Amino acid sequence: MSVGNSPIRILAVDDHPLVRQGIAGLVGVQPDMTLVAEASTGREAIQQFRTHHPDITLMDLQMPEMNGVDALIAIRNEFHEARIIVLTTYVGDAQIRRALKAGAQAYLLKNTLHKELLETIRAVHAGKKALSPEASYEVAEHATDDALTPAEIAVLRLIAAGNANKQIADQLSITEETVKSRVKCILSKLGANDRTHAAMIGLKRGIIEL
Amino acid sequence: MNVVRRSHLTIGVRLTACFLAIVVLMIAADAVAIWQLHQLAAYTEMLNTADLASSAIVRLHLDVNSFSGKVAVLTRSHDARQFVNEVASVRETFLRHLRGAELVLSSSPEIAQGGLISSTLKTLRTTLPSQIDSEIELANAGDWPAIQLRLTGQIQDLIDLSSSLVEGVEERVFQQRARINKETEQVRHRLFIVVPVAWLLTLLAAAALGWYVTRTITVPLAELASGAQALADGDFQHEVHVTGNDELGVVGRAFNHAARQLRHQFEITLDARVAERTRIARELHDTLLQGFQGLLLGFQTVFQLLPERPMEAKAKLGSAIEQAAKAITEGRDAVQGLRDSIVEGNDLAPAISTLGEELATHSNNDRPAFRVAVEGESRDLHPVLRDEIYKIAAEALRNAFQHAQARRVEVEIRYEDEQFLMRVRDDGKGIDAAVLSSLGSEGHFGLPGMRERATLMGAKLTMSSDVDAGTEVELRLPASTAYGTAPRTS
Repeated sequence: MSVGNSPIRILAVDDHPLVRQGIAGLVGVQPDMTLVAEASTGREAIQQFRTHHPDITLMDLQMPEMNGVDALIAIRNEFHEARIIVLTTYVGDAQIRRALKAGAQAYLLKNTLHKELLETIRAVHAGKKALSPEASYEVAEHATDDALTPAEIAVLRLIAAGNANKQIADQLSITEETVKSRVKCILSKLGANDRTHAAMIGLKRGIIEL
Repeated sequence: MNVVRRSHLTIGVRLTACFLAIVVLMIAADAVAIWQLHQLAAYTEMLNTADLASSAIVRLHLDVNSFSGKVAVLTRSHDARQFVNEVASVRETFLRHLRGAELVLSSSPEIAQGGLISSTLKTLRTTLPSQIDSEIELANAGDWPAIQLRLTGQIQDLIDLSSSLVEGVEERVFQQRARINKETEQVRHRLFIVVPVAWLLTLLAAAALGWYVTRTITVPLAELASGAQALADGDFQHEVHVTGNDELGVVGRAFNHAARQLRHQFEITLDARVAERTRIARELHDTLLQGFQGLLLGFQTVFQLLPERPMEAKAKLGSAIEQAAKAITEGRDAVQGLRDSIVEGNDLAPAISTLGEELATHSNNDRPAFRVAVEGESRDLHPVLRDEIYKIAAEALRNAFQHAQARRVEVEIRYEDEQFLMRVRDDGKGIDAAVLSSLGSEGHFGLPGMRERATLMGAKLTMSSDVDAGTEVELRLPASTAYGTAPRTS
C-alpha cells in the first residue's frame, strides 16, 4: 500500500443520502483514500469537481435535475483526465454502453458495491478500466442485437411514461401511423409481446430510464 | 375484405320492392296466357256457330226434299184430306226451321255475308208456302194431274234453290273453318312459346333479384361477422367496411365506433398499467434499494474495522442501525401507496379514516382536526372502484396534511341514489386559482394522477381552491357505475 503517497481524493455523487453516507463511511476508514466532496445532483457534481479536482468521481446515474451520464459528459469535456466510476442499481446493456462511450472508466452495480468499490477505486486510480461481472454478462448477452434508433427510443420512453399512441404522436409531432410503425419495430427488435413488455425490457436494459 | 356496399334503401324496402317486381311479372305472364286462351275460346265459338248455320240450312233442304217426296206419295193416293193435313204440317215445320236458320245466320255475319244467302232464304220463305197453298187448293179441287205437273216443275225448282243454298253455305262454312283452324293453330303455337318464356323470365328475374338482395345483406353481414370474430380474438384494430344508409350500414358504423372505443379503453388501461409499474419500480428504487445499498456499505465498513478498531466499528454500526430504521420507514410509506387492496370489506370510510389519522399524526405542523362524515346508507362498491376512490382520497389527504397547513381536514362521503360523491376539503392556505389551472402538466399535488384514476373509472374529478380559502377535491361517480357493478356479497 502506498501510504507514503497522498491518498486518493474522491468525489461521491448520489441523490440518495443513505448511499452517500455508506460510501463516506467505507471510504473514510481507508488509509489510502479520502472523501473530499459529495454531490446529490449532476449539476452539483460539476461544481464540486471544479472546486476539488478529485482523482476519482463516483457517479450515480439516476438523479434529478441532471442525470449521471450528462454530468459525466460535461465533466469529461472540461477535464479530459477525469476518472469516473459509474454506480448504478440497474444492469442494462444500453446504459452500460452509453456510460462507457461517455468516458466512464468503470461501471459498478450497487448491489456489489461493498465488495468491489475499494478495489475498483484503486484499479481506476492506477489507470485501469473495470466492469462488474454482472454488467459484463449483460453487455455480452446483447452484443449482437439490433440497436434501437434514437427515434424509436423516444417513442419507447413515452410508452413507458404511460402515453397512448395519439399522445405520443402529438408530443413528437409525428403521425399516429408513424408511431404505430415504430412501435412495431420496437416490439420486434426487443422481442417484446406488447407495449407493456417493451417498456419493461427497455427499462431493464437501460435503453430508457425511469 | 374491401367490400364496399352502397345501399341507400333499407332492407325492408328492398325486399318489398323485390317481391312486388316478382308478383307484377307473374301477373303479366298470366295475363298474356289468359288473353290467348280467350282468343282460342272465341274461335271455338265461331266454329260452333258455323256448324249450327250449316246444319240449319241442311235441315231446310231436307224439309224441301221431304215436301217433294210427300207430294209424290200423296198424289198417287188421291186422298185430298190426308194431303192437306200432311202438307200443312210440312209447311209448319219448314217455317219453324226457317226462322231458326235466319236466327243462326244473323248471329254469324261471316257466313250470311254478301246478302245472297239471306235473299235466297227470303225467296224460299215466300215461294214454298205459296206453293203449298196452291197445291192444297189443287188437292181440294181434285186436280191431281196438275199437282203431278208441279212436282216436276216448280217444286223441282225449289229443290234446286235449296240445294244451291246448302252448297253456298257449306262453302262459306268450309272457308270459315279453314280460317279459324289456321288462326287457332297460330294461337296454340303462340301459347306454347309465351307460357314457358314468361315462366322462364319470371324465374330468372326472381332469381336475379333474390341473388342481388341476398348479397346486399349477406356480404355486409359476413364482414360484420368477421369483425365480431376479430374483436372477440382481441384484435381491436379491426374495422369493418360496411357503408350505406340501410340497417347494416348503421350496424357497421356502430360496430366501428364500438371497436374504436374498446381500443381506446384498452390502450388507456394498458398505458395506465405501464405507468403504474413504472411508478412502483421508481418508488422501490428510490426507497428500499437505495436504503439497502447504503446499509450494505455501512456493514462493509464495520466488517473492515473489526477487530482492530472496535470503537470506530461500534459507532459505524450505530449509524447503520439508524439508517436501517430510516429505510424501513421510507419503504413502509412507499408500500402504503402501492398496496393493491387496502380497503377491506366495504369499509371505505373507516379505511380513509385510518389513513387520515395516521397522516394527521405525522403532519409537519400542529395536528389538524380530522373528520370523516358519511351521508346515506353505505352501499357496496366494486373492489376495484373502492381502491381507486381510496387512492384518490389518499392523494387528496396527503396534499391537505403535508402542504396545506390546514387546521381542519374533512372527508365527506355521500351514497346518493343517483350518484356516489366524495369531497375532501381543508381550510389551509389554498392554491391560487391561476396556479391551480396550470398545475395539471407539472404533476404537483398528484392532480394528473387523480384525474387519470377518475377518468378510468368513469368519474368526474374537480378541484377548487383559492388563496387562504382552503382546497376542495370533489369526486362524482354515476350510480350506474358506482353501484351497478358491485359483485354479489353475502
